[in-house]
This record gives sequence, C-alpha cells and structure tokens, in this order.
Amino acid sequence: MMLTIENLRVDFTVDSGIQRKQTLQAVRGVSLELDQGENVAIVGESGSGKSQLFNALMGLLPPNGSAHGSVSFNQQALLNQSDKSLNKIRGKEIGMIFQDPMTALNPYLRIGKQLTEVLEVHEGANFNKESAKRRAIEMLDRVKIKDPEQRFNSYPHELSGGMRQRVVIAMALLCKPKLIIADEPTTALDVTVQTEIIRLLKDIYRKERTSIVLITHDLPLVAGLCDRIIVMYAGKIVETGTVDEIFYKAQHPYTQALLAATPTNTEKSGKMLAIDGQPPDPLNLPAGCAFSPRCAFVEERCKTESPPERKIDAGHLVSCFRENN
Amino acid sequence: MLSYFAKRIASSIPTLFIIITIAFFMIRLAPGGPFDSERPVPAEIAANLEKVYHLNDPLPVQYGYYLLNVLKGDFGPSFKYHDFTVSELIAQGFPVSIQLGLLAILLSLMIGVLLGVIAALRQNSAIDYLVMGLAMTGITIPNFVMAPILILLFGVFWGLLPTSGWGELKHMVLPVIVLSLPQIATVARMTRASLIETLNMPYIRTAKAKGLPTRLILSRHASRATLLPILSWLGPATAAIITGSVVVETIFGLPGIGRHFINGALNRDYTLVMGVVVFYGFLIILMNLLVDLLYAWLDPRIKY
Amino acid sequence: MLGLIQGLNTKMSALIPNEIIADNAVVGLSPWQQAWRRLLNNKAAVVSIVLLVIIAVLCIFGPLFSPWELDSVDWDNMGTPPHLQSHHYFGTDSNGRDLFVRTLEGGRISLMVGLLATAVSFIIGIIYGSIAGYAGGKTDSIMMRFVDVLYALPFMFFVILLTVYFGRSIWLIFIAIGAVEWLTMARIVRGQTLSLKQRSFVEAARVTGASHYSIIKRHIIPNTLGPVIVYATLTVPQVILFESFLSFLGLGVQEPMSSWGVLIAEGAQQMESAPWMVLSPAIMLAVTLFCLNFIGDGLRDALDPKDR
Repeated sequence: MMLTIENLRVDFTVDSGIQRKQTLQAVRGVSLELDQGENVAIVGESGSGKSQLFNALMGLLPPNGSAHGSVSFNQQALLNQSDKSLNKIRGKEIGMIFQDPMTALNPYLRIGKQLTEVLEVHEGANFNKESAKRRAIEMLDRVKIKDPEQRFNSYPHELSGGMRQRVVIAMALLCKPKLIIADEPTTALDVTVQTEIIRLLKDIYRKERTSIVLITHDLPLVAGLCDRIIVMYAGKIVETGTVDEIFYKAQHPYTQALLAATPTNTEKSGKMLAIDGQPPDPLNLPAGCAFSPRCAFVEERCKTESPPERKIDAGHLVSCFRENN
Repeated sequence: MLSYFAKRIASSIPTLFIIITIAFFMIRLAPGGPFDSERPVPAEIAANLEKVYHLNDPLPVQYGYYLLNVLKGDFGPSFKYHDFTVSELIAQGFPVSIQLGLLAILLSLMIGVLLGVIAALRQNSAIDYLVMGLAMTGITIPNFVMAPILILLFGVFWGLLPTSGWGELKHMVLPVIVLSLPQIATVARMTRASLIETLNMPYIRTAKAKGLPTRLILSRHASRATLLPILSWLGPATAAIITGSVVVETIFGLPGIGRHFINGALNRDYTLVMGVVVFYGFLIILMNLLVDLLYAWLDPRIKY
Repeated sequence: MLGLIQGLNTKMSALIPNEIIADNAVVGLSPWQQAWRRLLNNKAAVVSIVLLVIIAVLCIFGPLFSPWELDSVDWDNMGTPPHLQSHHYFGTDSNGRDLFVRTLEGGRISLMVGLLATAVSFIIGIIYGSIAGYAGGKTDSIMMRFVDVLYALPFMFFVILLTVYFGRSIWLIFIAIGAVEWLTMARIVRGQTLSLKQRSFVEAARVTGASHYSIIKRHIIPNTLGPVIVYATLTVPQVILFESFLSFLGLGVQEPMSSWGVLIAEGAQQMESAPWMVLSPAIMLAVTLFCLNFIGDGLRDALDPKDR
C-alpha cells in the first residue's frame, strides 16, 4: 500500500469567548488505503471533514486543530511529524491542489519564482536555476498554458482563475509526485473551465500514472475520472465502492440522497431534489448514526448506536443497519 | 508608473496649500497678535513688519507675497529672536531633530518588527503575552512620564548616561529611547497582527504544501504582505515622532526644532510657531507621499 | 446587529477552515448580549472597568473628604512626603499644597476632557460619516477628500497654535481635540455605512417609503455603533494623553487649576528631591490609560472577535 490511514481523528478546539472551550470533531475515525496508481474520490458535503482529513496528513491543520491515529506513506509515518521531515514528502512525493486558485498563489511573487522554488527546496545541491526555469516552462506548457515563457514572468493577478489553477497544478506536478491531492480543484471556477481542468487531471493521470485523490462535493464530476469513491458524512466514511457500485448499487441512504440531488436527475421528476434537513452541527453531533435525523429509513437503534461497517462486495463497504436497499 | 507618481505628488499639493493658507490667516486674524492694529508696535518693528509683510497692500496681495516667500523657504523674521529669521532657526534645529527622528524610526522598525515576529510565531505563549504586555506599556506610558523615569534611573541613580547636552552619541541614547518606545510598541503590535493574518492566508498553506521550510516561508512568502502595513505606519509615525520630539527636546534640553517651537509658543513668537507648523506639515506630507510611492512600487497589484 | 452576526461567522471561519462553520451562537442571546458576556469573560477588561470606576469615584468624591483645598497652603508641611496624620495622603508640593486633592482634582479635569472631547468627536464623526456614506457618489468623494486633507495636517501643532492665539482655555482644548478626533470616527462610520446601505433591510426601509433621515437614524447609525464604540473607547485615553501633554508643556490647563499633566511637569522638575510629587499623578495617569486601553481592546474582541 502507498498510503494507509488508520483510525484518523481530527479535532478542533473552538473558543467563542462566551462558553467553555469546545471540541469540534471534524474527522471521527477514518481508515482507508490507497495503492500506487489508484484514483480515488472523496465525496461529501461541506463540513463532512473530507478536506481536514488530508490537511491533517499533510501537516496543514490550523493551530487549533489536532490529529490522532496513524498515517503512513510508503512506510513513512506522516501524522504529527516535524515540519522538517514532512518537507521531504510535501511537494515532492505528494502534491496538493487547492480549491481557490485566486488565493492559493502568492500575489507578491512572480509565477516563475513560485514554480521553481519547488525544485529549489527539493533538489538541494542539484538545483540549477537555468534547468529549473526550463522545466517550469515545460510544465506550464504541459498544463496547456499559452505563452509559457511570458507567463513565467507574470504575477498571479495577471492571470484568469482557470489559468491560475493550471499554474497550481503545474506546481504540484513539478517534482513528479506519486500522489496528488486535489481539494475541490474546480469549485471556484466557471463551469466551462471546470471541464477543462478535469480533462487536464484525467490526462495527467493517464500519462503519468500519478495517483489522484479528488476531494469534492460534486458526485457527477467524479464519474469519468476516478476508480473508487469514498462517501463521507459528518467526519465518517459512510460508503466506499467502485464508481459503478456507488452510482448503481448505492446502499447508504445518504449516498442515495446525494445521487438523487444531482442536477442530472432533474429531468425525470421535473424538479431538483434536495436532501431534507440541515447538515449536523459538528459541535453537537447526534448520538448514533449522524445521518439519522435526516434519514428517510431511520430506525430506533440508529438514534443510539453507530452502525458498523458492513461488507457488500469485495471493495464495497457501507455503514448502515439497513440491508437490501 | 511615472504618471501615478505625478498624480500622487499633485494630490498632496492642495494639503500643503491649505496648511499655508490656514497659517497665513491665523497669523493675520489672531486677536492681540502682532498684526492687531489696535496694539501699538515699536516703530522699528513696525517698519520691519511692513517690509516683510507688505501690510499696506490689500489682504490678497499680502497673501500672495506670503505664499511666494514660503515657497522660497522664507518664513520671515522671528518676533522674539531679533537677530534671526525663522528659517535660520529651523535650519539650526533641523540637524538635531532629524538625527533623533531617523534614529528613532530605525530603532522602532528593527526592534518592533523583531518583537512582533517573535510574538506572532509564538502566538498565545508566555513570550507572546510578555511582548504584548510590554507593548501595551510602551503605548500607554506617555513620553513625558517615561523621560523623567529614565532620567531618574540612568542619570541620577546609576549615573550611566548624561541627562542633557548634545554633541556626542551618549547624549542621544535616552532621547532616542524615549522617542522610540511607543513606536516600538506600535510596530510590534502591528507586525504581530499582520504576520498572524498573513500566515492564515491560503498561499502560505500552498507554500507549506510545497514543502518549503519555515524560514523560507517567512522570508519569501510572508515578508512582503506582513511588512506592507508597517510601511503605512511611517506616515503617522513621522507625525508622532515629531510631536514626541517636542517633549523630548524640552526635557533633555536639546537644541532642536521642537524646543524652538515650544519656546515660540510660550513666548508668543507668532512667526516662529507658524513657520515650524508649515515646516512640520511639509515633512509629514512628504513622508506620506514617500510611503505611497514605496507602496505602489512594492505591491505588484497596484495599477498606475 | 446583522453586521455583528456576520462578524461572528467570519471569526468562526478564521479559526477553523471554511469547511466547518458551526453555528455556535448561544441560543436566545442578542449579539449585544453575547458581546457583553464575552467582555465579562475578559479578565483584563473586567479588572480595568472596576479600577476605572474606583478612580472616577475617587476623583469625584475624594476631595470632599480631605480637609485641604485645591490651592490651600499648609505652611507647616511644605514639600513633605505622604503623611497620614496631617491628611496629606500623597504628600505636598514645595508650595505646601496638598497633592491628594490636587491629583484628584486633576483627575476630574483629565477624565472630563477625555469624555467630553470624545463625545464631541463621536457626534461629529457619526453624522458626517453616515451622511457621506449614505449619499455616496460625488458628495461622498468630496466629503471624504476633505477628511483626507485634514488628516494630513499636523493637528497637534494647530491646537498649540490655537492656544497661542486664544489664550490657554480648557474649553479650547475640548473643542480642538474633539475636532481632531472626529476624522477617524467619520472614516469608520462612512465605511460601515457604505456596506450597510447595500443590505436588504435598508432596501426594505427604502421601499416602504422611509425618509433618508429616518433610514440613517433608525437603520444606519445603530448598526455602525459596534466599531464606533470601540474606537471611542480607545479615543478617550488618547485625548487624556493629549491634554496631559499640552498641560505638561505649559500650554494646557493653567494654575491654580490642576491636571495630571501639570502635576507631572511640576514633579519632574523636583524629581530628585521630591519623587512623590511626580509619582502620584504619573501612576494615576498610567493606570487610567492602561484601563481604558484594556477596556477598548476587550470591547473590540467582544464585538468583533476576529483577531482573538
């Protein structure tokens, strides 16, 4: 296994200044494994903890966040390591793409500097300014940026949102990482640009065989790109399976609701479906299954007990008491 | 860029103009002042006044003359020091005041930024609270309280430093410290707030995700966004340090502009006070101008 | 209120990334009540409030309990350190005047100047800023340009100038300081107003035919109060400092009236022989300034808890 996450928990200490400090459980015991060359999507609403999961393993949690459990990447422990040891992996073995390209790039530095510095810190003594510039320009070309030589000397604000996201992708790819974590890479972009970025990611995956973890709330986006889908709700994995298993044999009522709420389903019923109720308050999670207050098939025990993970097929797992949906 | 510079310089002219205008009319309309025709003036001075201020001409013409003179750097003769012009007095005091001021600004920047960075990086730790507590003290204790305390400690009790006089480096130590303490505190607070805010920026997270060491993240990615707000501090700081220098020069008996100014105010030396106000106004406007131009130069997003 | 609620949410998102924004507001409390609770949880602010009340009460009523008057001379005790039997709790100055009474009387002046001048700037700033922001367009840019120009003037020197021309009167100090401090207030209110007038409740008021005057009075001004109160609290110490500064230089409050600045100036001259003279006014001034600054900081954290 390339990446093994075992029972990862992420907590935040919340201080409103009014009440006692509270602990917010963003991720509540997540385990998952990822093989070299595998392509996975993590799907969930905002607040489901899907981003915090990966921020935790990259050591990017804000100061009030803490992570527990164990994570190993190619036999190396990742969780709660010093910045120094993490920096041998961050940007080199694992690349990251962020949600908002408008703010992910430093507005005060030229694109070229922000690209080549990745090579500067990871190649140490082998770093050569000229070859770094050449490789950065090649990479800009690779992510289909026009006039890469000219763009190399641009400032971020001189580029459009889609272009900036391409720069961020180029930045993540420069060191040929084994894994790329893409955290909602298209959410902040226009719809037409979204498709281009997804096409680019697909192309990268096909050519470089780099594993991609795509974090998104947009289920249909995932279909063409990923092998496996992991559905998260309120900090827990509720269902895992292949694209086909999730799309055609979804077991968890939340996954089903999510599928029903996608825009492609509007034609059938004529109106857009939404999931009833509100996502749970992370400071005040319901006992038992977190989805129970919104679940159409809720039973008495759902309100008190957490449903265990159940195997449907080899790779198809679901956490729900209800069988044979 | 050049056109922006030109525009910015042009926009600061009205302010200077307003200062000079207010100065002119205040000096003219002051009740019981030197231009109050009710009050008899010695013939010799009257002749002098007439020569310099063209008192027999209509007011707008007088104003024109005054404006012209000020533009030439001539603020007229002092009322109390008969042998000096105001410009001479300012020129005399300027080297002292500018040395104090520049040293204070330099010291505030260096120590303030350093303390602020330390506090921000150790947010909510004991060091942070200590630095911020000291900063609060520095901002709260007025310089006219701080100066006597320091004089008492370093001058009287321990005899380490001279408490008055001018000429050697040791004479500058206490005045510069008194002048810069509140500014060090201000800079430290600003730097801390600014660095904390910058470190929460998404692009800092990007830099971390790229595997950049903390040192490089601070020096390359966080420095400019953190220090730009400090740059705008320079404007108000100039005003504050000028104000402070008035107190410091009085307490330590230094021959700077500030002491002339206070003596002028206490002696009702109208032309001297006026001249110093216009001069200070000019300095502050100049500093604000410099800050804006530097800002434009350092922030690539500002369009000219 | 809406602004405050939004402030709370921004704060949450600053603490924990956008992903998890919890609706953490305590049920049934208005934002003002929440801010009040937050302030009460701030130890430094609470201690400061208590201390400040003690100082204010002492300044107002303290002199009544002393047998000495502001300018009565005790010929037996000239330049003596603090002494209880003779009721010179803070000692006397070289003229035999009681420093306890003089310090507290000085405190009255300092606190009064602080409050009144801040009130003046508060009123001018709110009216000016809300009109500029609400009117928008050319009116706004002309009004704010005027503020910008005034901002660049070295005002402290103009105040000194005024004192030179019009003699040294305490009223002049009120007006002069108030007239200077309103500039920042106006800028804050104008900024708030600009964003408030886009809000739906202002639109709604306009649609229902409310007059501009009543919109500004009922909807705009109450909603700008949070930041303005914070700024006003931080203005009071500045004003007190300014008054002491002028008095210290001999340009403010005049003998026989007393003020902390005057007393510090007198004390500083005799620091070696009579250190208690500078000590009592300096401590009172410093404690007052500390308290006001802590209260201001506490209020800011309570009303807009983003930077905590």
